[in-house]
Amino acid sequence: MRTFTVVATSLLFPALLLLASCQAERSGVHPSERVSVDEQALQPEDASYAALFRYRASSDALEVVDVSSLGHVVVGDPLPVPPNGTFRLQYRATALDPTGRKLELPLPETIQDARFSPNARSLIVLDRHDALSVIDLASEGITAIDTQVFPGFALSSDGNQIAYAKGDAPMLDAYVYDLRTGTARRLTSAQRPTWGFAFSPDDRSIAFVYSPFGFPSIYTVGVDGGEPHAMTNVGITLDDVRAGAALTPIPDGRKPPTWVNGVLVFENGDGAFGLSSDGRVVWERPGATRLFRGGEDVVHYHIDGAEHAARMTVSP
Amino acid sequence: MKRAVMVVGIGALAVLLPSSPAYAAKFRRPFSASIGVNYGYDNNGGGGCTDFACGGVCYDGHSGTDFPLSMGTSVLAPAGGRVSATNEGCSDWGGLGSTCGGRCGNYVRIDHQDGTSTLFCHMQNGSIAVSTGEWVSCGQFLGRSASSGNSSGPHLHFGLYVGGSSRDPFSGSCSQSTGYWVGQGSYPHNVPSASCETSCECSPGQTQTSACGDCGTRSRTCNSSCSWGSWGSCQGQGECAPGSVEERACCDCGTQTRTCSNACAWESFSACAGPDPAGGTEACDTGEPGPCAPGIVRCVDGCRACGRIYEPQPEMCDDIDNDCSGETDDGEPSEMGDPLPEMAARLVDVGYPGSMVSGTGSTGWVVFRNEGSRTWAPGELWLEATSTWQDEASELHDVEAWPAYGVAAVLDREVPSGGDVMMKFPMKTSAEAEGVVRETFHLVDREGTALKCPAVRFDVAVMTRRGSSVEDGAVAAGESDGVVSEAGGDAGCSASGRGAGVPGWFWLVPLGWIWRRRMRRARP
Repeated sequence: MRTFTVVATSLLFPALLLLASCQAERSGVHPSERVSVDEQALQPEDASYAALFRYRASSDALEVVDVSSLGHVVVGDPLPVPPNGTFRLQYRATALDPTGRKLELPLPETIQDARFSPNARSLIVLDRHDALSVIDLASEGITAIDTQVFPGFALSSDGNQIAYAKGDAPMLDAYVYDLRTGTARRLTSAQRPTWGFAFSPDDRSIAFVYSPFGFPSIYTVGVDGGEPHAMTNVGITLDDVRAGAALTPIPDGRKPPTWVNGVLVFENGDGAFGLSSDGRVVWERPGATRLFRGGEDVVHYHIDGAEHAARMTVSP
Repeated sequence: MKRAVMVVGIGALAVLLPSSPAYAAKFRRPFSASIGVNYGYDNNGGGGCTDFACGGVCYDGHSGTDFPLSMGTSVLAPAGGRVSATNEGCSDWGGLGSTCGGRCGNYVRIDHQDGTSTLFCHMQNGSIAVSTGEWVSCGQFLGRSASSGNSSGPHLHFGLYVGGSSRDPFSGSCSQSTGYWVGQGSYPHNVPSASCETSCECSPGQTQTSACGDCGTRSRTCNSSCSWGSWGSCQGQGECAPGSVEERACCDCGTQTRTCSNACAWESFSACAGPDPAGGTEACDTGEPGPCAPGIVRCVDGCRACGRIYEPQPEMCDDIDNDCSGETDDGEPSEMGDPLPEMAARLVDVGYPGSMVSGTGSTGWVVFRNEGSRTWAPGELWLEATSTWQDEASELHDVEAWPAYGVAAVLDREVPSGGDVMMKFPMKTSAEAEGVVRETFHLVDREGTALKCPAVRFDVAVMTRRGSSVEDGAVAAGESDGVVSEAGGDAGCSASGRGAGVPGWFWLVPLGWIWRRRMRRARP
């Protein structure tokens, strides 16, 4: 029996409403669309919550790569790397069902990233050679998707589309792949750093980190293509950045961003953040790590040695 | 002997490749510190890694060369080129798995003239000193090293791309026979040379021509040591330097200039121009009459010239020679000036018989308005027949009635400025007169000088006929004082009159009289 040091926080965070009116005006968002986030305590008996921490505690070295909506987990044992090099983060991965039983899947020896489909029927895997493939959990069949894929892909909520970056890093472009037709559509062509994809709740657009002008911002683009539009750092130029202008936080690849009840949540080296659809920071947990979506409107995260969960409540 | 052979060999090469100085870029190490390779390029497409020397100083899938530079080390351009991309905004400590900057973190990419590109990853945020599109030279500071993006600690990831694909910059049995460093150092932790490439400037025998001097040309030839010889003398120069300006003085004052064209030829001199002598205060006489006479000395076309102060205007009735014709108020100007002239008269109306029996007399009348500034005194103005000015007798001269020879009437009252006066003028035709008898009457002063303006004369034309014994009856328009008026021109047109001593009923006989009336209206 493992001891869980789950601290169900009873902290009720005050609504974090950042009145970034200037940014709202720049993005053309009506004030009534402002979003606030309430953080509520959650109990460990929540299924996905329990599964997540059960496997997290199995080894200090293990990392939870992804958790499915039903409680499946991919845990990864990161390969050690020497210092001062450009080594890729790779895992020896294991997939487990919601009961903790190991799934006998044809996983590559090492992977860079893995993501369960929303219906938890398949697992999308990026191997160490940048090849992206889909593993059917029932049949264990493998379908190759694309090569030269960059870590940080995302699945649509209906499970039919995959958004990802492809290219010779850092010269990357965004693509969306339709699993029903087996075809990919190129969404950008600037060959610039591109990563951190998240489908919108209606699967009609994709938010991602993009750096067409020499610094990273979050952009959105329709799944059918079109010109990407900046969601953050609107109106800021590279000269402004070099003069010290502050940039809105971005996901840096630790975990892909995800929409939770209208808030784009993600983590980076500074902590966990939530952005409203107009690019304002509406939730901020400095130092937070291991951010996972735990349900329709819940995110889990780890901070100061304790586990927390936040329910994203949209207040119009 | 050996040297001579070499020269011949190079010369032959020059003949074969007269204009092919192409060469692959050679790089210096992109920093000053003597630091060697930590992890090299993986030349093995499969599992594991193979460095350029077929050793293992690399890691699986590594597409560049890692140099373990500490935080803040200056990163330098390995060769000249153009910055094709920069990226900033990534944390200096990205850590393993960071995707910021597409794993590369903050970076600079340079496209070199031979088609190769170099990439410098994991740099310090805010340290990048070059911008996209900027040309950099070998050794130029690009920024500082850090550990941004996907990095397990501070280092510089040096990437080389040839034809768009990554390439190991080192030569070796497991990479390629020719490396990309000026000097690649010693295996296993090679420290490439810090010297910039000294490349062949040109192909022996190649000539180069350039512009020189003032639209001239010069040429130089590439010598056998692949460097350019001295420039030859400048040939075919033009007469001036493009854009230069030459100035010269004009005859008395001012200057004129000319500009050298882009073809190094002088253009035409401009017109002379300069300030007026003595600041435009020197007075002179233009030699012109009237108000145009006073002038100031000006600089006109580079020469002294007396320029008018006053420019001629249309003549007006004002005792001034407005048009500088030499005569005051000439041409009978109708427009009054300001101030008013001393003496001026305007014809208001006139009436006289249109026909007369030859040898009979009659009387006409005329109304003048005093438009001068001075009151007319009695006897001061005469109505003179102008035919007498040519020493001819007036055909309407009434020797008995006219106060003087040629003078039909004399002002008999005082007329203030603005006032009207009627003057009656007797007329008599000779017994031999037949047909139309004409005369022009003009107002003159007592000195015999004709008034000039605005309307000081009128014409009379009388039809004469012979045979009737009916006396003219001294037809006297002048009797009709009350008929002629300045304001009532139309009423005045039917002026009538009768001769002195003739009964009034006589005027009712229409056949005896043909009246002709002429009226001139003054300009308002």
